[in-house]
Amino acid sequence: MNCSSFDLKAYVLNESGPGDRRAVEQHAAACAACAEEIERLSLTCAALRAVPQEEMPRRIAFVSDKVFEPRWYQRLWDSPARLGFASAALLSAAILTHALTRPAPVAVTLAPPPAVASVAAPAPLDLDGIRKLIAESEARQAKLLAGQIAASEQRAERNLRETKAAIDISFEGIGRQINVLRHGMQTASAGLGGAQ
Amino acid sequence: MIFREVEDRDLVAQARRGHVDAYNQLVSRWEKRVFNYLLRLVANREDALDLTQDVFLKAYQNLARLEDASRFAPWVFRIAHNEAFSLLRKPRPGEEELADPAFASPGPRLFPVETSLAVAAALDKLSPEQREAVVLKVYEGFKFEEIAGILGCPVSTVKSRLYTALDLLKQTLAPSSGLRGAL
Repeated sequence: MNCSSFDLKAYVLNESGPGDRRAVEQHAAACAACAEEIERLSLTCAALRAVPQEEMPRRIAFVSDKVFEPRWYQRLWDSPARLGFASAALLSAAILTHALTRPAPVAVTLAPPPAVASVAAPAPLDLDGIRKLIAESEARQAKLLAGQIAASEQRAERNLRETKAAIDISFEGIGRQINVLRHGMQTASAGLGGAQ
Repeated sequence: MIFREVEDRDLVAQARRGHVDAYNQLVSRWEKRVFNYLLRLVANREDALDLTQDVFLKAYQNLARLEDASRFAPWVFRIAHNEAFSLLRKPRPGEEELADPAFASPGPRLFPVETSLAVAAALDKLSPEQREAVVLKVYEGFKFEEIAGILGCPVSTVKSRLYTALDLLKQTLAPSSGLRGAL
């Protein structure tokens, strides 16, 4: 092996494996040039390490200081209630999705509003006409109401008749059952008398 | 290896569950090293301090993205690397704008003693990429693979930068033969 096959810098920088270290040490014991190179590299590193670390002019801020304060979303994420928030968010998303994807409601066509022009130039009020219209409207409402009351009374009478008929039928059934029972009792009494 | 009663991964796990004291402990554990790493890159105490603050703020805000909690340190140094080079890429205003003399830029010589002056002068001859590789390896003690992860480049690139830097530093800090005693 010649000198170039040994990585002397890796040896000095403690990057060689145990086998390589032994090989370098054995070679340096027999090679003055490599021994001197190792010594110079070691001196270089020793000089570099002789320079002490600088003390800090001041300590840097800690986490408890304002500058390290977590953002609101980080606090929320780190809080134990995050599962609750996540569930609420999922539920809201589901409701929103349902609302957006459900069938559209039936369109209701509204009568067009009165022309704006008539509002812009109002005619003088016709009080008699208005009273007449109100009276007609009240008459229509009264007639409609009377008709509804009459229909309701007819429905009530019909229901009453049907109920009465149903009760009559029930009483007839009960009477028939009583007769059957009475006949049965008489037959049983006759049987007992004959046996005695 | 430094023995720690509580490992970084445990503190990261606690911090993720909202225990601010756990993150405070991580800050206490790493702030000085991150600050010195940044100081050696940007050569300005005020910038290094501001960047250190930003680094730990970003790390806290993105703690959930750290895949392997046991690799908190390389991850924080990766953030620090990005912050430092983003600052270095910006055009710098005049240094006279620094009002507080406590934060006045020390220039290339950051440390007061003679050895420190020699080291600072030697480091100043390196490119920012070479200097960063030296800082991460020699001062912070990361492995080649970790440095590659921090810098976002292949291990071969890390070794190339580091080995070239060592050759340059060696000429100043460990000259051959009779000049060696000067240090």
